[in-house]
Amino acid sequence: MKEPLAADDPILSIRNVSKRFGAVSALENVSLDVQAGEIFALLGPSGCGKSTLLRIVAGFESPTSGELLLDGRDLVRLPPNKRPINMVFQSYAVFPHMSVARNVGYGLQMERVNKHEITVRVDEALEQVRLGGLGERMPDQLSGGQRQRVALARALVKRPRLLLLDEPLSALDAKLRDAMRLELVDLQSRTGVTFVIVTHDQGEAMALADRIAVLEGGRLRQIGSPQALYHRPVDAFVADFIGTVHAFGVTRVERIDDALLRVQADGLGDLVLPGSLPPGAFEGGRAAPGFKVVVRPERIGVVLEPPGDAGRVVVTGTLGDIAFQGQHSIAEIRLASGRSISAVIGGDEAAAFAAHPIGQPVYAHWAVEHLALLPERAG
Amino acid sequence: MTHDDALAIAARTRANVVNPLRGRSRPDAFDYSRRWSLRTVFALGCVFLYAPIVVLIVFSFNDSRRGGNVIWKGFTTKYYAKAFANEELMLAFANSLTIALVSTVFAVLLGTLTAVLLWRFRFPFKPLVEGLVTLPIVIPEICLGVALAIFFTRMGWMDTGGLAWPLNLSNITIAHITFSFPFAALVIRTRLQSFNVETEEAARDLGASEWRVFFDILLPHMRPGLVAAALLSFTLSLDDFVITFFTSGPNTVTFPVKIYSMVRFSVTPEINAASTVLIAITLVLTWAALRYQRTWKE
Repeated sequence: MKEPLAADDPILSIRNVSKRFGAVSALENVSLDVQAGEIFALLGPSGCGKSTLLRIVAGFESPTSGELLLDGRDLVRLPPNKRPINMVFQSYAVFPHMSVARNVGYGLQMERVNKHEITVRVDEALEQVRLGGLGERMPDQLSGGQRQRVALARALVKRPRLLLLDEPLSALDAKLRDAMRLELVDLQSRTGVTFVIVTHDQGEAMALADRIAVLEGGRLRQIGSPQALYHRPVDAFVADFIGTVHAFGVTRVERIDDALLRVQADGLGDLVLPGSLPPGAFEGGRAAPGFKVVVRPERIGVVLEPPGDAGRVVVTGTLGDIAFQGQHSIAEIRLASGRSISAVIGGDEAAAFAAHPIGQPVYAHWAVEHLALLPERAG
Repeated sequence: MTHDDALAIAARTRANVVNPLRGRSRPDAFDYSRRWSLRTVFALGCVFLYAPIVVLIVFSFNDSRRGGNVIWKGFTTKYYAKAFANEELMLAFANSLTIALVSTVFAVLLGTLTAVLLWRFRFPFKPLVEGLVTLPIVIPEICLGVALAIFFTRMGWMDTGGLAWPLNLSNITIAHITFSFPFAALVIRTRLQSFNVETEEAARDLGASEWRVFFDILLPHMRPGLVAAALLSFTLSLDDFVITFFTSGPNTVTFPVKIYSMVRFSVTPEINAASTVLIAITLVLTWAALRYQRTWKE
């Protein structure tokens, strides 16, 4: 008999996986665990290795080195058709010469499930993705969104341990994307299947995933919940990839005590920040190269009069363009150094600023605790 | 949208950039049919392409023994009867159909394997193999004909008249496979270019073995290509003259070779009739293939 899995035993364990294509290194020493029942996102810019990692899990590529465990059992040697893992491809890969029902039933047919059960389970799966009654349609009679549902049903009908989704929302238009996002979350909670999603869209990852792994240049940058990545990024790359940040170069770092740092930053002057010294930041009183202080545009306020309160970072600049976004607007502030930063401001504020000409002197300010000292690249 | 993009758009709007989509487009420059010069070229093209064929068909019904293709002497179908009664002609016709059918089967089979090999796999000297496969297409037919004739003579395979049907046609059939399978491979390979490799991976993902993938996914995708390749091989074989002329013996005459030998005496309406029948067969086959492809698509 199989030992029952402990609650925190990972369903999928990726250990020290590297992949090289000739001289090109696509993945370097990536280790991560996926927990049962979660939606896990692999996030990164194109070429970061996230798709390669997904294809390794599916079995279409084999790792150059490293281990892959599903429920604690080795996966590397199993060919894709023997893995209890199914995938929804980016192109959906619906078989064009088969009806919807035959598409969905194909995987069960390969398992030699009897005809009656296939019919029952196919109908059930089609209901699940809200395609009930469309079983006799051919794929070219379906919309893009419907084809994706066929691909979903086709994978879920096999009751896989793991469902892999390659850029599931990228081919849909904006409105459909929002609907499908909710539906994927709903589908996951109804079926209980663990989802692993590959995406380059941080908004998509934030909205869908329980946990996100950020990859860049074949390396794992950070794993965490969307909140953790947003509030406690390990480096300036993650901070800028999850949302937007404005980064300022750092010339000097000094430790005041365990909870306070003195930092000299380009264009911001001398600052006292709460926080401890990140490892490697301190080299004989000077900041090591590659350290930045970063602030998010949504933390920046813009005013016409100098803000009096202490404990705030204040920079002077002039008003640039204001981009209307609906609920909020984005204001451009041109700093004396010649660079521009953006600030997210409310609708009323935006309306007030619209009365002022471009070039109007303004003050951008934010609380000092919203400034974070980060290395450019961690690890 | 990033903040930079949003701000760039805001700046453009403020600068009141003129919308490039404004203003009406000119009348369609590609409206060919309105120009008399292009109409004339089109008409001339049609005349040169189809007039000879129309003349051939019309004069197959001409009631005139000599100079059958010059003066119209009245309508008759007797030359069709005569052609069908001509045993040698009918034997040549049967030979041609047999060769075409058998060589088509082999050409499509070999063509499929070649196309899949070249499309799917990477192996040493692949460009060389690709070049060798297409070689029979570019080599002048006369050279291929002579080469095959020498080959079969050396093999002692030239005089096949004594063998039982259809083995007496084996050397011609092999010659036909040689020149038609590269065409089949080319057509099928073109079809494979539009194959979505993700569907193959999806089938593997759903539990299909490589063989199941081939029969369930790849073969159905190739089907229109297979039909086109078969049609092409069949017509290439049916009307081949040069290579067949070099490889046929006195007792293994094909339809085009027979017609040629008849034309050497005079062009009688009988030849017109036989040719018209050949045209009809080709048209019917093409129509059937197109129809088959359409119903399959639906």
